[in-house]
Amino acid sequence: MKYEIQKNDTVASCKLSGELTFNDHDLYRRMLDEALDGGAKKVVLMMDKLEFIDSAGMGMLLVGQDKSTNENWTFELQAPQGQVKKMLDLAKLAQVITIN
Amino acid sequence: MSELSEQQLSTNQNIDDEVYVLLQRWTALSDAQRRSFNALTQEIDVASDLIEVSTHKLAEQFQALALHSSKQATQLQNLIAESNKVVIGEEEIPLNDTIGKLDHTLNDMVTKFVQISRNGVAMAYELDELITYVDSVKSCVDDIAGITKQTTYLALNAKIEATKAGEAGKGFSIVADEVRELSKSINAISEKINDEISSVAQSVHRGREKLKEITTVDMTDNIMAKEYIDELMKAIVEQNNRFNAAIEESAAASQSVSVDVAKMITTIQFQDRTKQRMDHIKDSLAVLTEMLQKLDNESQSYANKASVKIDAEEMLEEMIESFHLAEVKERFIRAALKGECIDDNSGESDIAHSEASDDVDLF
Repeated sequence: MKYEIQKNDTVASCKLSGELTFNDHDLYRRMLDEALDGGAKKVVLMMDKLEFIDSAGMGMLLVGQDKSTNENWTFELQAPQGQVKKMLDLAKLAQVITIN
Repeated sequence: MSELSEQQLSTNQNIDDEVYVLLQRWTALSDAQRRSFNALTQEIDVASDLIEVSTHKLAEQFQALALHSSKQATQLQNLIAESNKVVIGEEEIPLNDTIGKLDHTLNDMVTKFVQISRNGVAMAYELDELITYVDSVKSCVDDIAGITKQTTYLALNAKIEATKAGEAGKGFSIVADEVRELSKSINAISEKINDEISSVAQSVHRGREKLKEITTVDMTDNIMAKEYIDELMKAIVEQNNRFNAAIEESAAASQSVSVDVAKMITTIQFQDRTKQRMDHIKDSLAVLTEMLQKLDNESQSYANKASVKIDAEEMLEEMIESFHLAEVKERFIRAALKGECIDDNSGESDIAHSEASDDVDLF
């Protein structure tokens, strides 16, 4: 996985690309920490360039959601495509995480 | 008597004979007609029996056809009912419900896959934190070991200085020895703690690796299988619906056949009306026969004076020559010429004959 973070006031947008699997769990956590650094109140994962996600990747998204609830900030996913969208739909992740 | 009168008499006698012969022909024709009417009356009975037996047989066959068609419609309806459910053990589940249940089970399965992954990732993060703490503890123990080393050096220096001081430093020498012993003990404990922490760190690392193995088992295919199974079940239901529609159409057609056949059974009850008409014809023929007999009785005494005898048989034979059906011809000969009575059961035998043989005269 690769990412780029753009911050705008209290919103941090993380542009993801490549694949999100268990091997990225450490990088994923560092990305969230980096996004929240500076007092962001909302983290948006831009997923339109993310090509693949596995079950562990979806687990990481849920961990991100748990973290946002515990630390009182907002977590959103945006524009999932292809296989990623299909996996999120099948797992009904929209019932737990806001997906736009 | 004059010659003219004799001629006149002869002429009159010839005229009388011609009238008698003509009357003879009329009475012969009358006889032939009466015998023909008798034969035709019996032929009407045969035809009436034939129609009655055939109609009853036809009605029976139609009733059997209606029954089979009705049974077929019932069986098709049963088939539709059976195809709309599945039996698991003793439980009957409507096919549409099985899809709902299967979908629920698959959703539950997928949710659990994702929950396992979430817990695995969360556990991995916890182990990462634990490793950080273990490293920190190990660093503290290393600090203790460094301090202990410095304490040992200090105790050694104190011992040297105490020795230099002679008797005055004797007490310090004892304290220095005890401090060295204490440092040795602390060092031994530090080494032991270090060993234990290293074991913990190794266990945590091994646990982390195992967790990674578990969490990295990709369940993508299993999750994707839900989509395939969903589509498969939808296809099965749609196919079943198409089968049911076809079977329902077939059942409706069978039911329609039953209704049509019932109407046909009603329609073929013409036999009663036909028999009434034939009886009417027979009655008319009987009246005609009586009238002919009466006229024959009145004319017979004059006809017998004719110089020639004319038989009714000749006229009957001439009539028989025009018949086309061999069976009818044979019965007519028996009834009209030989004066026999045609058997009452001849209708049934005629039917059997017609059904069993190709020997049917065609017009």
